[in-house]
Amino acid sequence: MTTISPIKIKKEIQPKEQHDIKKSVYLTKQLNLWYGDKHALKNIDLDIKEHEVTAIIGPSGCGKSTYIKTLNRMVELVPTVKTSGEILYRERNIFDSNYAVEELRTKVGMVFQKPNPFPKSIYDNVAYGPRIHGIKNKKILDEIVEKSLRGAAIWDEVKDRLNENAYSISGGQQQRICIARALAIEPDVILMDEPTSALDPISTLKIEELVQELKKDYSIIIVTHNMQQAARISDKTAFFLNGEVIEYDDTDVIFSNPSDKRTEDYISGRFG
Amino acid sequence: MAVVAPTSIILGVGSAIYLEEYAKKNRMTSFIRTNISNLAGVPSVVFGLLGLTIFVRALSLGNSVLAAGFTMSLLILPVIIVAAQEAIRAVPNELRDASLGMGATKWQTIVRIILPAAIPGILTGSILALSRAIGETAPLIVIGVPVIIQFLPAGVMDTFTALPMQIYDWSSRPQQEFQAVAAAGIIVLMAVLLTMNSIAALIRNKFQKRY
Repeated sequence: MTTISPIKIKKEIQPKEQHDIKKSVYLTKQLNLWYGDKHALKNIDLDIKEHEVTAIIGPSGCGKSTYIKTLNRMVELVPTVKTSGEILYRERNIFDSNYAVEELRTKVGMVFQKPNPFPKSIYDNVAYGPRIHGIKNKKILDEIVEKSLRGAAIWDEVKDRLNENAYSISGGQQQRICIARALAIEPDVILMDEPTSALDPISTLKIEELVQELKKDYSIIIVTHNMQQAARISDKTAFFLNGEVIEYDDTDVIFSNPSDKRTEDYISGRFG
Repeated sequence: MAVVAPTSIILGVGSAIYLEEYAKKNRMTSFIRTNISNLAGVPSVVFGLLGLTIFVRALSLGNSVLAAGFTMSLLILPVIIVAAQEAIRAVPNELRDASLGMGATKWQTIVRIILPAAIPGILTGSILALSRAIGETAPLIVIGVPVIIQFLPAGVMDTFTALPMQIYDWSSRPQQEFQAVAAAGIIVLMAVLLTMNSIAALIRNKFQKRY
């Protein structure tokens, strides 16, 4: 694990005032969620700022994936899910009955744990989003595809093989295709659910670098099992345990000076 | 065939989509699912009786191509539904998530992602079911299709017969010429069946393990 020297902490903490000026993209208030009888998320309050990387860490089954899936309401695909409380996305409650879930998901892209390209060509994968939203013009599609692939730092690797099946490239490349696919709908937020857990270290590194790049234009929420990863790439970290947020603060504070004993135990590897 | 294929495939795939993607998973739907599989095992004569009651008598279609086609469709519908359900279920959930996660509606996801991925399975099942329908005679005898005709049917409301029945009739006649005609009929029937089954096998092999 990277040890953070006191001097560095000081430097990092200083722009904190600026953080507070940043607008919230997601404001979660008293969110509760049940899978049938199982109370999976308990009274979650989180304020996620724009243009930051927010990492969610915690042991398996603590609700971190559930939480991130709640942010774009993918969790509702499980039929027994019930929720209470509210999540304000750009000041609008996503559970509002007149908030179309498709509209929300157009603004909130998602990258999944396992690379899941469609069994189509690389081009068609990236063009899928724009196409379902009604863009048919070949020229515009070409531009979007190139821009998204560049955005996901994979254009140079695949520009000559856009018509090949997306399954013909490596897992790390597939995952970046999936990121490009998410970028193609020009989202505002990108949710990443353990995007590197199925990848080798070099691909992981590439994705992490990419996250740093993407942060300039997007707000990123990333669930990760890997604490070093959270420490390396995130600005804020939330520690989940048994469906509750134990601690939520600047990443440097969480990793150097956590205020809760359980956070300290977890990040120092005593359990989890 | 021209009647059976569209009717049974459209209805069958439609039902499978509904059952897999839209229907809530409760006791009612699991009851329906189980019974569709049961229907696939019902003797074809029983379907013939059903066809006789509904299409020939109640809808007064007579013993026409249309009535027989619908009856045959009923017969192979359960097989097609089960095959299509399996094919749709085999599409990984990750693909559904990816599509829905980009703001696609359920229908867009079905049309653009799920059906293309499931089509090999659906086609294989449908072709095998259709080749079963070609060889079936029992339901046709029940709905009163004449055993032999000496002219070509002109349209869907005309009377007609099926190749297996024709062969049966020809081969039971004493004249030498009919024996030869029956043999030719058998070869035609077998060629059609083998072709259809090999197309099914080809499709299955071509699209195997795409994800």
